[in-house]
Formats: sequence, structure tokens, C-alpha cells
Amino acid sequence: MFGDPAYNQDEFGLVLHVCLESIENGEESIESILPRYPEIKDLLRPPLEAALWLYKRSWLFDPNPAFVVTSRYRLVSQFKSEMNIPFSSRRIQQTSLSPTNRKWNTLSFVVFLGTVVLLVLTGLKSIGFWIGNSLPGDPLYRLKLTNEQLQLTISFSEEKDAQLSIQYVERRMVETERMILSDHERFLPLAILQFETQLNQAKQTIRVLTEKDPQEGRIYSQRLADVVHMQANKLEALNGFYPEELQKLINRVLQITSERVQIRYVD
Amino acid sequence: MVETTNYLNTCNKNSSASFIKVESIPHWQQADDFELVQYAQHGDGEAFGELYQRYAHIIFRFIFSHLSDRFEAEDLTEEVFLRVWRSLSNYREQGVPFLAYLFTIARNVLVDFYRRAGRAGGLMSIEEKSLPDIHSDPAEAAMVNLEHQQVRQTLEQLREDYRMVLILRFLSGLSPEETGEVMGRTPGAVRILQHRALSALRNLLEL
Repeated sequence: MFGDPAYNQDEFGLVLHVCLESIENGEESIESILPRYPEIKDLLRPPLEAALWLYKRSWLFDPNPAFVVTSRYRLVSQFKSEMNIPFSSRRIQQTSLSPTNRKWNTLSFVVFLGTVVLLVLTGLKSIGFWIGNSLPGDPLYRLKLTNEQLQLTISFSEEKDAQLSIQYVERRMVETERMILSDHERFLPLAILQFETQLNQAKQTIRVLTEKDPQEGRIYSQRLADVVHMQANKLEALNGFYPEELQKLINRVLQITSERVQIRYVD
Repeated sequence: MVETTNYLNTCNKNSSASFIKVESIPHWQQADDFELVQYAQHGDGEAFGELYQRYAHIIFRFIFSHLSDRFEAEDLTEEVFLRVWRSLSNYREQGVPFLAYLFTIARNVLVDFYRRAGRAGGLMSIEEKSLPDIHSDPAEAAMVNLEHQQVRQTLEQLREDYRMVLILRFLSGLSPEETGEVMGRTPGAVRILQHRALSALRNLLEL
């Protein structure tokens, strides 16, 4: 492509650029500059002519000076008004070094963090509430039982185990009572089964405690009997108000209570 | 330049009193792009105004070389600077010079414009348009628009990188170094590309 081997593409490009600059500055014309490069003048002429053709027409693309002035004024005014909004709706995120903006950034971050913490705490509290009030058959009920088992696992004394077990037996009976009162009889057999299982577990825990400390064992077995009998009395009082089908289930709870809680540890 | 640098330093020292000095720093013309961008990032509209003053005509020529309507080119030029302002916090000087950043946004604005125009049924032809121009004489305005259109149509016959280098070098008036920044090439590569583009353009012209 290049007639003279003394010029490679880079050099030719550079020569062309030098020629263009001279012509653009008005120092030279095509006819005056080409004789300086006789060996490549035929190669230089076409691009120089094309460049001159473009130069001559570049003014067609100039902006209207009035547009630049008014547009600048309009944009700067808009930016200034945007900057006056503390919690700006602009998409820009300020990484400002200015004390004013840093203060706003810190404040907005604290507010944001506080809101997040509040939402998390509220959310956790709500979830805890719903788990605590769940009944057999509810989706969250399994979480409730898992939590109870976890507490039993991480308790490292027999007394604590016994105390928790009694508390859980009471919960099962309260759940049964709530299900009767709220006409949740569909899952009532499941609740009774849970109660029976929990009662057996409590008895086992107290038995272990008694082997270790008979006096403590007696105290906890009496406490279990009191809790169960108190709840049983409530159920017995309700028994007469419900249809026969439901009465059978209530009687089943009462039967379990009378059969299983006859723990009398005599010295 | 010295004053503006000192101003930045005082800002860094968290002095709210010195921050108020912003009105007493009018030497924007002496500040380089990076300093102006920093001020603009801190919310200084006047610093951004100086950036606009420096580059508005370059961006306008670039956009107008792709469009036939001057008013649309003006609108899009404003949109480019609005987008730059709103995304200025994402701009970091390292790696990408401000000019290249500006042209990246200008290209995006043009792409969005073509997309919108495509959805709206395409761009109007020159015959369909009124001839809005800065010239008061309608005949002169028509001639100017016709000539503008001819240049545009000639450039459109070139391949994309040839057209780009000619627009940037000869219409936007960028140096080979600046063109290289925008196109992601070395100045040497730009000079070679420019030579090829000019030769290709010469073949299209009937001089």
C-alpha cells in the first residue's frame, strides 16, 4: 500500500497528522505541503483532500451559541436546586468530603440502620409470638416443639429438665383446651397424642431426678401432679358443654391423666 | 489551580467555615477536569457548569453528526450532561478519563434515542421535518440542512470505526490522544485508523 518502503504505517500516519495540523492551523495548503514529501505525495493527497472536505463542513455541526449559554444556565440551576434537597431523590449517591453532606449521610445511615434493626426486632418478636401460640396442625407448631427439645438439650441439670418437662406438659394440656374451645377438633387427637408423649417424657425426667435426688424428685413429681390435675379439672368442667364425639376425646385426656399421674413417692 | 487545590485540602480537614468559601473560588477555567469532577461530586453546580462549557460543543457535534434535527441534538446533549451529573458519584478518575466517560454516556443516550424512535415508528426523514435552524433566511437554512445531511449520509457509508474516528477528529475536534481515550486505542493506532478512514472517505467523494 505504501509506495516507499522507508515509511511504515505508523510513520505515514504521523506524517499525515503533521500535514493535517499544518493545514488546520492555516499555515499550509495541500499544494504547498505535498512537495515536502515527494516520495509519498500521491498517497498523502487523497486523505488530505478528504480531511479538507470535512474541515470545511465542520461548522455545519456547531451548536447554536445561545443554546450552550441557556442550556448551561438551565442545567446548573437544576443541579443547585437538586443539591438543596437533603434527602435527595436524585439517583446520585454522594461520596462527598464536605462536612454538610457527610453529616446528612451519617444521619441517613443511622436512620436507615435504626429502621432495619426495628423491623428485624419486630419481625422476630412477631414470629416468636406466632410460634408460641401455634397449635397442633399449624405450620409453625413443629418449630415450637423443636425449640422445646432444643431447650431440654442445652439444659445441663436434671432439675432444669424436670422443670421444663412439667412446663411443656402444662402447655400441651392448655393447647388441648384451646383446641376444644376454638372448635379445632380435627387435630385434637394429635394434640392428645402430643400431651401423652410429653407426659411420659416428664415422668421419665422426674424418675431420673429422683434416682439422683429423691427429695427433689418428690417435689417435682408433686408439682407435675398439681399441674396436670388443675388442667384436668378445667377440662372436666368443659366436658358437659360439648357433643358426644368431643366428649370422648376429652375423656381420653382425663383417662390419660388419671392413669399416668398417680406418682406418689412415699418415703 | 493552586487556590482550588488548597480549597480541596481545606475541605478534607472538615472545616465547615472553609467550605463556605466555595463562592470565592471562581477560577474554574484553571482547574483540570479531575478537579472539576471532584467539586461537582461534592455538589458544586458551577464546577459542573464549567465541565459543560468545555465539552458541550464537542458532545453536540458528535450527536448532531448522528441526527438530522438540530433541536433533537440539543435535547440529547442536555440529556447527556444530566445523566453525567446523576451518575457522577460512580465515576472514578482512575482508568477512564472524563472525556471517555462523557462519550460513553453520549453513545448510550443515542442508543436509547434510536430505541425510542424505533418504538415510535422510526425517525422522520428530512423531507418530513421542518427545518429548524439558527439561520433566519429559510432558503439559507434549507441549504445548510441539505449540506449537513449530505455530510451525514456520506459518513454513514463508512464502516463504524472509520466514521467514529472522523467524527471525533474532524467534527468534534479531538486530538489523536483524546480520540484514543474515547475509542480505547493508542494515539498511533488512531493516526493509522484516521488515514484509512480519510482514504475511504476520499473514495466516496466526487471532488
